[in-house]
Amino acid sequence: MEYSLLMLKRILTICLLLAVALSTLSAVSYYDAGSQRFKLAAGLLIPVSMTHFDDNVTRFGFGEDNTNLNVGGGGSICYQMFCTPRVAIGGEVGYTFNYIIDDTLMSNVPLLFKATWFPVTGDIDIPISLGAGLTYLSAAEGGSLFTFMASMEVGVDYYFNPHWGVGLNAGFYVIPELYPTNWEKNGLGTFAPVTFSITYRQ
Amino acid sequence: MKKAFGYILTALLLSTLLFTGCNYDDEGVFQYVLSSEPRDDRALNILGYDDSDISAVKIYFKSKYGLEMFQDRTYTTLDGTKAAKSATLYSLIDTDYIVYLTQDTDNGTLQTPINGVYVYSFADLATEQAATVTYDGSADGSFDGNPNFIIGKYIYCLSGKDKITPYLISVSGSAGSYTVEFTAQSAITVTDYNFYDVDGNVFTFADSDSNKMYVAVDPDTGAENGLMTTAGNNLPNDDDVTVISGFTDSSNGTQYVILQNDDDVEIYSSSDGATFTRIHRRDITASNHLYTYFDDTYIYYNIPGYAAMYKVNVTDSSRSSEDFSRLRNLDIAGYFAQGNSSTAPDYLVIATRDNGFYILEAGGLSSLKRY
Repeated sequence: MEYSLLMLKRILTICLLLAVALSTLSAVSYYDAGSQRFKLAAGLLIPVSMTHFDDNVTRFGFGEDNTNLNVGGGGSICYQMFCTPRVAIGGEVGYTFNYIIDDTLMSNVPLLFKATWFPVTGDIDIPISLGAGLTYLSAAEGGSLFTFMASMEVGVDYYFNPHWGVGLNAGFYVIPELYPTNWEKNGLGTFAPVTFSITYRQ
Repeated sequence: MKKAFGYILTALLLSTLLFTGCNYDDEGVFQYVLSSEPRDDRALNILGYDDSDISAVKIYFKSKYGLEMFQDRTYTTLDGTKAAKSATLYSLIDTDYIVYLTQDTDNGTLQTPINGVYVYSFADLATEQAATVTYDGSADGSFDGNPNFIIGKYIYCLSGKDKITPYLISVSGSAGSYTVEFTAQSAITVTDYNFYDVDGNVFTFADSDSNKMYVAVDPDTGAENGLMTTAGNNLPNDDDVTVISGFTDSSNGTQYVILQNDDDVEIYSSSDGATFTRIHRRDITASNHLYTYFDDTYIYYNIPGYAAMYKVNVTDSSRSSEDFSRLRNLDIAGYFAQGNSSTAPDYLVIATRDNGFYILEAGGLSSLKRY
């Protein structure tokens, strides 16, 4: 599983370098300050790691004896407005789920503030996003809580007309599980979403 | 811009503190996920248990794997034959034998004639079909009606809608030549009936026409002269009772009857088996099945779909209930007391129909674990 984490890092690094390289080719952004985009995304959610600090246990990957989570899915709605020609800020609301190996459901409802940098714009956009906010995390038998969540995401959007585009996105979620009065329950989960998206821009 | 981000960050931190402050459950989602185990769906039905040594309770049950025993986190298949897997009626006889019956299933109900009687011998650790089956001493006899359910060592046969005949099951002989004897007991006559629940030595049912409650007690531990005691006027004649179960305190013979109505759970007690007094009531609106257990001090109950499990100290004059644990969505087949020492119950072992066994520390909340 360390191997898959390494691969994920490499892919993200390559995407980032590619985006920086491409940004030099498109010196003029397609967007202006005040432009808007609205994105619907849906796809898979791959459990990457799960940590329980008190037991000093960290496990990687999906399935039994790993994170004990199966590959799940989810979707999100994101609205952003450009504050500069290459940076958009806004919010994202989503829902993700993974089945635990005991056939019960773990679900997650993130509410994120999201900032996106567009090194490449035009018929093809490459959005690179960072998100932070709160999420409502729950498991059928394991309780529920509000906690922090951070995300990063890289995507490629192809616009088949001036307003509508489809895209492929990969990302990384970090969810610390915080109990101020019960530290031995605290944990950390990371997930990798891979989604298809439809984006409307104007 | 910096100022705006500062405000956003501050708002985020404050709201997170506010929300995480509400995390009173303290259950640990990720801890739960990491400790979870694959579902253990055995389609389990309890036959009985042996708690003569409370530190090593043996729980006998029928599952999709046949007849099994669970003890100290270990499953043992006693009888995995096709007949055992398809058995519809089974009885644990004093932990010496398990007698089980197979029935024709052409009409899909239990009220069909039996087509096989099998004996599992704990001494021989083997199963065979009974060489001889007698009904009231006659090998040519038959049940009066069709066998419908077993409680303890009694099999109950239904004739029409107004007659129930219990038969005592006994086994004699040895390996290779077992004889199973069904001895008829006094028949029970009612005008109409609905069967509800079975718990330990007591079985209960309600006469739906007259709205009277009946409590039938195993002759080994309960009422004199027969199997049935009419509950009397002190049990409510409500027609909204959906579940009824009961226990007998083996130390003093006190009988407890637990009723679940549309809007509450009520516990009644009787020292003579005839006059019942309500000792406990809790408002609960639920249509799901009530599960109960008695450990000679506490009556435990919970209703699937409700988070809390309750226990009532029947030896205490207040008989108030207290929250005991959160059981959530377990499909419970039975509770069993277990202890570290040979006498004191420190745990409840909870058998579920579809997900193995759990253990609950008698101490309190949030301690439910897979066993």
